[in-house]
Amino acid sequence: MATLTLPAAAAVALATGCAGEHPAAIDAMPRQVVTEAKLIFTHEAVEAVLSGGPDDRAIIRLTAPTATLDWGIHAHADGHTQNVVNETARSAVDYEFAPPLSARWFLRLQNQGDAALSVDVQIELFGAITWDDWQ
Amino acid sequence: MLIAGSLAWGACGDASSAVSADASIADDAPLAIDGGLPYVWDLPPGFPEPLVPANNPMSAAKVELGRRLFYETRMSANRTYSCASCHDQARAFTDGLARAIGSTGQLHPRSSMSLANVGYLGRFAWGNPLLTELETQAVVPIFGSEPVELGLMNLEAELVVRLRGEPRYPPLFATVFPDVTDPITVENVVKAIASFERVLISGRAPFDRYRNGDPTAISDAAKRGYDLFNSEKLECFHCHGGFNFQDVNKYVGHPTVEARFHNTGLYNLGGTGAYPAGGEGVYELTGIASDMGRFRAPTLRNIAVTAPYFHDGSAATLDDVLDHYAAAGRTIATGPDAGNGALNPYKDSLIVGFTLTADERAALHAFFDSLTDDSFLTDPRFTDPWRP
Repeated sequence: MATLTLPAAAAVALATGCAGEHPAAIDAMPRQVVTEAKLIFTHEAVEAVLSGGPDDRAIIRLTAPTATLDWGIHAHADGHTQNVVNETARSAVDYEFAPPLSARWFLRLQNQGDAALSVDVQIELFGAITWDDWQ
Repeated sequence: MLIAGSLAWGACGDASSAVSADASIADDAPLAIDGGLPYVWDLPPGFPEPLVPANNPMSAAKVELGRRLFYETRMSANRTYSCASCHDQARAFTDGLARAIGSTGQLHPRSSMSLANVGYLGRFAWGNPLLTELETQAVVPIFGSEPVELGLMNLEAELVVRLRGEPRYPPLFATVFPDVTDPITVENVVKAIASFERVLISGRAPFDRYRNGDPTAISDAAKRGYDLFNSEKLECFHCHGGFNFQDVNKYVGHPTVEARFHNTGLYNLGGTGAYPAGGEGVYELTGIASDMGRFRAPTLRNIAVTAPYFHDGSAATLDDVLDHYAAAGRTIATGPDAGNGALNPYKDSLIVGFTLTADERAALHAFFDSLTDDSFLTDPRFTDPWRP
């Protein structure tokens, strides 16, 4: 996994510049970019955690060689599962994630194919949302 | 001394499985080993290469010496125990006991952990975030005193004398450590044992063949069980995922790992969240309330042969384990450990309970069985070299 973190001053400028009516505007540079080639074996599921809230944004880009990737974002709060998005049989994903509430959000990937799948993962983080790696 | 004391909770045991005493070393045991050859990893398909400390490079000769020391009863003060006494290959290097028993008969607070794939671990023992290297961990059962395992505390010199006194060891050590004039040292003993443990790699179970592309390698029931394992309903994969079916692995290209420990709601003494004294996990080291009952998730590899389960062996069967998680924690109605573990305030948030049909339970068992690596349990490279 590789991450690119902007200088603190830039992050502060981004945060202050975006305060007000638009949370963590995504036309600015991301505070951090996570890139990784994630190998997922047949039927294996993996989940990473994005911790953030309504003032944050994350751009999620996933690329797989075959359309056997199921993916989604959910949280477990107060004993319930809140699903934001769930898609099946994808080979490419380009999704802007706007957390509806502050929580630990699980980015779930599952390979429904019969062969291992190497998924190129790129996550751009805006605002204060954090990437807590695969859990 | 806090760290030293905490290191001592590795857990070994089982006097009934103690292996060869001095006199039983067979004259025709295969002691000839090649020196100087680089170690060639025999990795299962898809497995990464284990990390090796720069000050303890692998060699075939060192692995073989470590194997002999692993099964060596001179390694215990009373010459009755070896590492293998608590780590039996046929049980994936566990001992079948709820809690280990040391060489002096002392009952340990922990169950013996499997050594399968121990070379990939980022943390060792059940609840010790400070143990990060095999070479450090290997010292614990040999010289630890709380509890006594092999019982050689303060007997370092005695161990060296014993090994020098066995005529076959000096040339072996000289072969493995050719650059020193006096190679039989405690440090080199530990290095050799760690090297042997590092090659105890299990990754050729039927499930591995399935994972690597053979859809016929496991039953349809096992596949359904694996889907349940990966489901949002059960969430097992969070703590038991990846190639090693546990959540703290390091290897070449992935050298650092976050320490992860989990309170699974086994206990909740008096509704306070407390675990029984001596079995409080990371809390015993840190004193931080939220560390109460936090233990490392063990690998699920060979899980069908490593009963009983949990850090204190308090679940006799895998059905007991499933019942525990289905209930989101264990309720103990009476006695000193009474309490509703499901309400433990420090419990991992992913343990919320579920229901299982009989078919689903059977599917999970089929999946668990598919993780049994018979080739590992019988691999002659890992057997007792002292036995003819």
